[in-house]
Amino acid sequence: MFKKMIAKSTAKSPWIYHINTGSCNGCDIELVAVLTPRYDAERFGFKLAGTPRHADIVVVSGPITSQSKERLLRTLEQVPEPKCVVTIGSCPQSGNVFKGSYSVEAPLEQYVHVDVAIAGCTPKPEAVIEGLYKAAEILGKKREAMNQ
Amino acid sequence: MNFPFIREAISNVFSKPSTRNFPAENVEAKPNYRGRITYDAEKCVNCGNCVKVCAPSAITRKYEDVEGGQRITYTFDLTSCTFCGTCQDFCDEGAIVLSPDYHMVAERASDLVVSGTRFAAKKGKLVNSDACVFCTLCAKVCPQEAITVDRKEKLWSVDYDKCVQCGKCIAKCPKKSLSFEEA
Amino acid sequence: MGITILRLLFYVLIFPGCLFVTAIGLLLAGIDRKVLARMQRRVGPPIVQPVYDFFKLLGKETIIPHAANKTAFLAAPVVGFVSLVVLMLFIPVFSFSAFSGRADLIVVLYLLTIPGVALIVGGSASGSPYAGIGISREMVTMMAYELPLILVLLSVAKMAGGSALCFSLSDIVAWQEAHHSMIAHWQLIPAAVAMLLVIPAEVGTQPFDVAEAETEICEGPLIEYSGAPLAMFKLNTALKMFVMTALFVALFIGGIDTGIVALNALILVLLCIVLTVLCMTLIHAVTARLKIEHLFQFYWTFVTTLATVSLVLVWLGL
Repeated sequence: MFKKMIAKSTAKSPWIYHINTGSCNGCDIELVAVLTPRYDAERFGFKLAGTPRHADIVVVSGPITSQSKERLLRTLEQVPEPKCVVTIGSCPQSGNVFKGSYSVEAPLEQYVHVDVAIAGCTPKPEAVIEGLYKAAEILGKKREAMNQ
Repeated sequence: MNFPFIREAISNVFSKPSTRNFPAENVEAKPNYRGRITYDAEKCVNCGNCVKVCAPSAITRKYEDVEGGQRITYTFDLTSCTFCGTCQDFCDEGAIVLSPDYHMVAERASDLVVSGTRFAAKKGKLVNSDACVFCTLCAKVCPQEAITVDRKEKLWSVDYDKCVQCGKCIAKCPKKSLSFEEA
Repeated sequence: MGITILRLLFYVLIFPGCLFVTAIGLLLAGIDRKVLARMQRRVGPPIVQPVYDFFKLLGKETIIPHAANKTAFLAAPVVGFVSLVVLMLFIPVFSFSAFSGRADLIVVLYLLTIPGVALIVGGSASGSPYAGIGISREMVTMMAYELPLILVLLSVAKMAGGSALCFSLSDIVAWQEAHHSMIAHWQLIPAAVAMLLVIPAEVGTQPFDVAEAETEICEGPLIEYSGAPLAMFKLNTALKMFVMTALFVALFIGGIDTGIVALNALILVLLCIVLTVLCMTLIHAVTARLKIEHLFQFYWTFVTTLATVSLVLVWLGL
């Protein structure tokens, strides 16, 4: 019963850590908009965490520049299990208009498993909420899988 | 010390919150919002303008040779797309439309791909007739730049390797001089 | 003998110890978040959200950094939790008090610093430079609010003791029953306001959360914590809310006694909710985080002056 409670709580209290890997700031703004009174993601327990150690969901935006790649991977390693990686916007998925540049190492999928991809350039705050909500559900399932 | 929002904070407790009940009630995007791409393969004439204008090269085209013609597949990778809408603007046939559907959330990147396939029967070669006045409209309209016209020397030529047989030059020709030659 | 031990165990584990403080602390934290959201025109999380957060953190992986001192790193949150539970045993629920002694106000004063010290020890054991900045700020915050807190306690002790100082909390509550509540005496109103301003700094909520500023120093001392120890620290913050407001009730609104312990506890919880909303949520909703020097200045000028005014008035016997 205790483990069930933990699994249920995990899905209901996802804390977000946001990492910008050279994004144009569009997706970052839309992510912050999700926490404003109009959209209020805190209804579902979402909270912006200050450090990767507290995070459950890591939100990655930006096309992963060569400078930020190492830092991004190090940050992702710091996050305690169970965790989810969410990409926001086109950039981390493919590189968007920057693809092929010498300083962009885009698809994030080649380094870590991406759990949820939110497409859009930039996605609407509603789409971001949808994606994060989906990630929270995956988080609960991951915790349940850890019980067995 | 002054607290300008103290009255507002207290009155807000007793008023309705301004939060939208979003996932429970769907919110429509504003008109002209550029969201998920819809592609109507039947309208497409395979001019390739969209492939040419796409800045992040999110649109790819694939040919498969089958009996009596070929199958042409257009693939729109939404994880690459900037949703600028230029492909829609350049599509004269209206085959590409950016719909206001913004629910583009997927666990696999392959779910964020829109594609359409069309069978194109083999047409004959593009030929010119004597009616031609060398106005160069066909050369201007050709998406593949396959047609070259020399107005001074009164020469008209087409590069058959480049021609995709979209038929735009035939539609544009004021003298109805161009046509596909029956094989 | 056996019955005494059983009773003590009941006090420590259930009421007013572990279970009671945990439940009410989490409830207060939930109400704080909900009302804060409503003040900002949001819907806000459900009231049980801190419970979800607590259980989720219990289920997370605990990472101990290489640079950390493992024992101190893991023991710090437990020490903080235990000190808060012991603190609650000393604070009387109106006429009922689990432990009482001649000078428990002094004990309370010492115990109140332990959660803060636990945060400092835990932060310094984690070996992160951000935690270093955080603990230095936490120390300054503690210095800032300790002075007015001591002055407030002194004025209450003087008021209840008359010619001598009265450092027994149960005697202070008994005095309030005989006379009126402390808050009804006009000399002590500045002290009550000062105490209300000390509570958010002790708990570490918005304008005074310089030590854990998540946007500038990544939650300071808590930066390296994850999993169960972090859950304990989050629980400690919730407990501090309850303990501090309960202390305020015991010191200033102790005069209402119904005679039934359960009813008394209910009144205490209701008063704590009102105080939490008043002195933590409302201030949180309308202010932004202070700088550390402004915090220090605020406490050593404005709040200390309020507390001193009360002390002088009480001492002169006006």
